[in-house]
Amino acid sequence: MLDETNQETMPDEQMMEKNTQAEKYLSFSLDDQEYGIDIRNVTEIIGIQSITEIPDTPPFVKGVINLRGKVIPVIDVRLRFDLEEQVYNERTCVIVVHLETLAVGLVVDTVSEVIDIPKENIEASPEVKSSSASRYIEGLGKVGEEVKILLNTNKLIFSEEAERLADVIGL
Amino acid sequence: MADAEQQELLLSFIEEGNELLDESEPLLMELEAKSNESGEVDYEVLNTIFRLFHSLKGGAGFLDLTTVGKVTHQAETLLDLFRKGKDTLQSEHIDILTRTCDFLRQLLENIGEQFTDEGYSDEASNIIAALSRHIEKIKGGDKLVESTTDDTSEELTVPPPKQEEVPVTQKENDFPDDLQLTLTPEIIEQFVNEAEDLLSTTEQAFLSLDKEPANTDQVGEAFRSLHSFKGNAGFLGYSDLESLSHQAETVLDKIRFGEIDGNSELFSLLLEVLDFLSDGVKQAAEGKVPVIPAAPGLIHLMQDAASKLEVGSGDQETVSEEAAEAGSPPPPVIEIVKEPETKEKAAKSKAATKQPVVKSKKQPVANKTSNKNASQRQSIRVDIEKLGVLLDLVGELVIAGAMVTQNPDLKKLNVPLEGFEKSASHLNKLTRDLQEVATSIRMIPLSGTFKRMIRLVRDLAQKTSKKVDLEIIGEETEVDKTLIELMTDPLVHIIRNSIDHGIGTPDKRKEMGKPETGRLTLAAKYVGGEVWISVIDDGAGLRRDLILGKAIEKGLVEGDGSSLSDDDVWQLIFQPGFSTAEKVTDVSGRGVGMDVVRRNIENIHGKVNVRSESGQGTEVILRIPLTLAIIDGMIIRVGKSRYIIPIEAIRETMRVKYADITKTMDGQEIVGIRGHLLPVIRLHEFYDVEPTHLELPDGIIMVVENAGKQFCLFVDELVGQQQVVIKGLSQYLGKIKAISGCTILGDGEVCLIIDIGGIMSARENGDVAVAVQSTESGMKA
Repeated sequence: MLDETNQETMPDEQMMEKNTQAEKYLSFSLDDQEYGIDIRNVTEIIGIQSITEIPDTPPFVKGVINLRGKVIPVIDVRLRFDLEEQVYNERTCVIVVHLETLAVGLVVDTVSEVIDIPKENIEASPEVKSSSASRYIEGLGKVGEEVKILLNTNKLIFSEEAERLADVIGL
Repeated sequence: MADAEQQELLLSFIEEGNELLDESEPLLMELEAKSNESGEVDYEVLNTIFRLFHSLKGGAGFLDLTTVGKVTHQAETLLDLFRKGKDTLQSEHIDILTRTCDFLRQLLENIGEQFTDEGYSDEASNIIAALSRHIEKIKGGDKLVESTTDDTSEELTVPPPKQEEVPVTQKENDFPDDLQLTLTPEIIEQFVNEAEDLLSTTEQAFLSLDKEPANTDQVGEAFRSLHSFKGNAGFLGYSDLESLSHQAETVLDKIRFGEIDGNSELFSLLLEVLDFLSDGVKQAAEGKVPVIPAAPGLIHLMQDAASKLEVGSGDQETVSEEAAEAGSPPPPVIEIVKEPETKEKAAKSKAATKQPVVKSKKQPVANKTSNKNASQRQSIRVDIEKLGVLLDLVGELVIAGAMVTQNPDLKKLNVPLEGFEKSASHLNKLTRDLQEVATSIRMIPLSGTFKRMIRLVRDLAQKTSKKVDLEIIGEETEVDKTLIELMTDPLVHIIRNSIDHGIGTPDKRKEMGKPETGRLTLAAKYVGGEVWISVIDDGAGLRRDLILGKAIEKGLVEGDGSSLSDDDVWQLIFQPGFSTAEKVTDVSGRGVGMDVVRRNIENIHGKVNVRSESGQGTEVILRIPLTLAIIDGMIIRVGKSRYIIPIEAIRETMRVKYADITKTMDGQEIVGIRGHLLPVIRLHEFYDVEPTHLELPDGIIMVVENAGKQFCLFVDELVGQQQVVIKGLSQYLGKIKAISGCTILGDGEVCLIIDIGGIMSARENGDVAVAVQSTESGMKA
């Protein structure tokens, strides 16, 4: 799960527990709503840094950053969900995910913690309109009193047009 | 799973097994050579091989490795028959035995990983069946019933009926495709690489022998190469290749010994044979067993030709020293084996690589050539992937170096940095040197590519009944290996055009007062940061009227085109589907050539220029950049964004005054520079960024050029010049208009690299076309 070039950010115990029934999710928040993504694709979390804009890209693709010599694209998850854009501050984080050979950074408001959500506590989300942002939802996870919206990393990164791109790359 | 002790035993068995196989294989080769030459079987060698297999069988039995045991037993049985003189050893026997060795190696490898030799029963059955076939055949001719026969039939895991399933059409030397599995992709790749080299050397020798049939050096060269080729082919069981090259080798041998005198016809035939061999190698590269249906016919032709050329008196003294030195009959591989067969020697040849036999075959040949030609450079085969990694790292180093020496923190220090600057500049120099050496590693002289053209020209001239002299200049010019392969197709297209359309028949040329033999020149030289490869012919030149006519017909040109300069007209030939040939020959005329040429060249960031004079000839120049990924860039700023423009695209930069600017009715700004009128493209508009300056006189105007056309870019500021390592942008972003990649600047920021040609195309496609002035600088630059 870890790219050789990226740092180890997970404690060892978590690596061993990968195979257990509980799925681990990295939770982050946007506008007081908590979301979660499968930890297996996450390789690191970094603070926001200078982004170089790239012309000719959808609005949610903010540009690229220099990650220790590698140039990776970053997308703004707020804009992806059609939420209002917010100015980045020192708490803004970039979650770097790896899907096969592709690395992408996700800009989020804050990152909380890694939590276990057993399968029993995950419910499928209600009927989804394909055009809305809800199509990124993998399920709804109940953690105590709260409900975290669990996202499908693949869908989050690839929209319909880019899904064709994914086919081209072979993902 | 085997326990620790057993594992240890297995591991030492594997080591021993490999050693035994290492010893056996060269011996098998020696056996074959001797047998071919004198028909005799060297019993000493045979016994040695027998004992080796016997040891292997014993060890396998001890460790319960039944598959190894069964296979070695069969091989041992076969060898025993020869030992007892039941039959003469032929190449088909050597074939199956070497194949057995391959299979055993595979088994050993598998044992090393899984500590068992199970799971190979299919291949094992095949090998055992093949061995049994030979055994039965030999025994079939022998009335004596050996005691081993009973053992054999009991231990056969595959009863005789299976043999009948083998297709009748197979020659004896052929084996079911399953046995292909014993040949690993690495072995095949190695064979293909070496075979290509050997065939190429042989071809060169033949081509020069064509002109000078008496050149004994070249005969020796060709002989040795063919011999190695034959050996390798035989080793991999490619019998068609083997038998064909064997016959060719025999012919050459006769020439070497003065038994026959070669002539032009013979070498033409031999060249054709090489073509077939080359085709076979291609088949092998695809993983197939090469099949050459024409082989028997070709062999017959060669034999015929050779017998016709027999010299009355074989003059032994004319045989050159080299031919004798080449060890005459025994193949070079013997040289290694003849030395004291100590364990050290075996270990040494084993230590070389994983595939010792193939490598050891190569060594003696290499030794020979290096002895013969002291001036030849030593070389080493390197995996091109490793070179790719090396070059990447050098690129990263350039960036990292810049990030240290140009770090913004340094400015904050506010102290004199003399010592630091000195060290920094030393570091930069070292990095630049390293970069130069690293890129030069992958550079290969064009001579290989050019030499392939000799053959092409000869064949084309013959085909079109024209006389063409080929001149090659500057073949030692080096080009990056990844580009060399891309050069061949374009050059072939252009040469075809020259010979097909440019150069006329001897009669036509006489009419025009030219020498009957046309001249084609292939030249390569360094010009600035590029390699210029030219194809120059002294033919009829490009016909402006014909080209214009065709272009008007296709609607590519409005009006009568009289306003177009010659250069503009020549550019038309690069349009897809463009051809003025009256006839479509199979050589050319289909009009696919030139546009593919230009596209291929532009893909590697190169350019194609054409010069022509009616009646005098045509010159096509391929301009290839020397280094792929590192370019000199000019950093410019537009608003808050920075971009890099390749220096080689920039013609000049300046400030303009209001007086120099003209605005057309649709808002297109045009700037007058020394009489030329060039359109202005506002970079901030193009990329939709907020600029600092909106008025042209406040910012900078940069004149850039692409494909012979010039225009101006309006930017805010020139930041500086820097050597830039091009990094690709993530595939996720797709293709960004007019951006060829990105780089990381000294301050750690990512900066986009602009593709000037892309800006041109984007504007031409999107906007109302404005006449863009073309210049002659396309040639002179």
